[in-house]
Amino acid sequence: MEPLFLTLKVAAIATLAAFHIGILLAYLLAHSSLPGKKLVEAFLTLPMVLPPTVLGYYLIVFLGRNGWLGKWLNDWFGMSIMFTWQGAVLAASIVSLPLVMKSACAAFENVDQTIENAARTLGSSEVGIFFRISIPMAWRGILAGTLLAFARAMGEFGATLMIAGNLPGKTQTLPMAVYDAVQAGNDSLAGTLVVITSAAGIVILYLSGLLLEKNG
Amino acid sequence: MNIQVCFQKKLRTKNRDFDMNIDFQSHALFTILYGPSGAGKTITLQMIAGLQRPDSGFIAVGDRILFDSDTGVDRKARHRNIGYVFQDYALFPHLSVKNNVAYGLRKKWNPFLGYREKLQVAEILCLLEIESLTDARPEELSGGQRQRVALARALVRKPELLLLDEPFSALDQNLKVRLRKQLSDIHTCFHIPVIMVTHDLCDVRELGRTIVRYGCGMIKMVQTGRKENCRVCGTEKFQLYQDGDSTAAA
Repeated sequence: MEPLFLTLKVAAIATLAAFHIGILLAYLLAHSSLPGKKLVEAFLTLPMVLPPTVLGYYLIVFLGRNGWLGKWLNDWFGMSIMFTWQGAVLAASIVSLPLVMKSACAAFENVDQTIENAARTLGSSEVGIFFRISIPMAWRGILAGTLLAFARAMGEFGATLMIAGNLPGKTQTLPMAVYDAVQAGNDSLAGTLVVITSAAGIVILYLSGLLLEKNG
Repeated sequence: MNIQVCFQKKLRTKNRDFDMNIDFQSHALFTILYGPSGAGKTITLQMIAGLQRPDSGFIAVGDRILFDSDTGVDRKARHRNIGYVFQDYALFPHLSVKNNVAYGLRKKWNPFLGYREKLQVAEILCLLEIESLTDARPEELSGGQRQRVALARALVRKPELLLLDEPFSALDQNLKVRLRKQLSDIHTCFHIPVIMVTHDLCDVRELGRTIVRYGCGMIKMVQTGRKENCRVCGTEKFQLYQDGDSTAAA
């Protein structure tokens, strides 16, 4: 059961990070009219379409012991996120970020500009509008995206394998455990893990679908 | 109170280049902006409210300068203290009527209303005869009720100026007549200067004191009081305003 708990921990923290960063980015994107907006959006969505191994490669280049940021972190603080569960969190948050961002962006764009203008004439600041108008009106879309992000974070394999490895008891998440079990010919364990993962996925997708249905 | 509006704005969209050059003054308590749709009336309201920025110009309400491109004054919309009733009322769909009205009274970082603010909300709901709708959601209201909630929401902050963007366009004829009378009463009671956009001549006849007539992006005529004493604005020849003329002479 250890892989299950680790997966839940990694996915929960990753989703929390993706939730906050994704909402902020989505709000800025939905409200900007700069010409480079689509390009920025494309870059932020890239983790959704890139093979996870490519993403893992980028992460190693940045954060590996000889990577740009990793070298600096290692020299000054003596720490590295390679082969730790924090590395798995990072990988999972990056792949799930576009899911939060995309749905939140669509939800924010759905909020009528006139309603925000009404709040402005009633003395609301931009921050006030964000918390009192945009978030309450877009919460369904945001929550649906966050659920998807959690499911995606739970299923993260490729990038996690490259940056955090597959160390039983340390960085072995559920997808890794399935891979290991199949490799070792332990079909009954693999079967159990597969059922758990699938059930979680179905529940999450169903809830997310319910949320979006009421939105329309 | 003297309202002074003078601005230039170039609007560029894919399908339309629109140059606005607006200049009018009004001393009346009830000013009507009248003209065909697409003439820039709503944009004028947005400029006054601070929701759009003119390229250059000068906007003042009383002795308060809201925008002046020469001295770089540009007050933020939230500091202008101008009530704005939008054409589709723009009520907050996630809030009850009471909370819609209370929205503009809440202090920063304090989710609760003070005793005085609560009283103000109750008072305005009562005055506009919508106290029975206190806990209703905007989606449950009829057009006329929505309009009154939007009015209450704007009036409860005691604005220095009230902007109405075609307040009757979404309503049927019978309701229009009744609400026009009601608006007139409310206006007498609050004594706040009003600028109203309309393309309905009945509104002009019933409510107008100063009538600002719009052509495309410019002002054709400003008219105060009776139709005999009208002041000419701009160089273009214009048709005199006639009672019974039901289409806008664009």
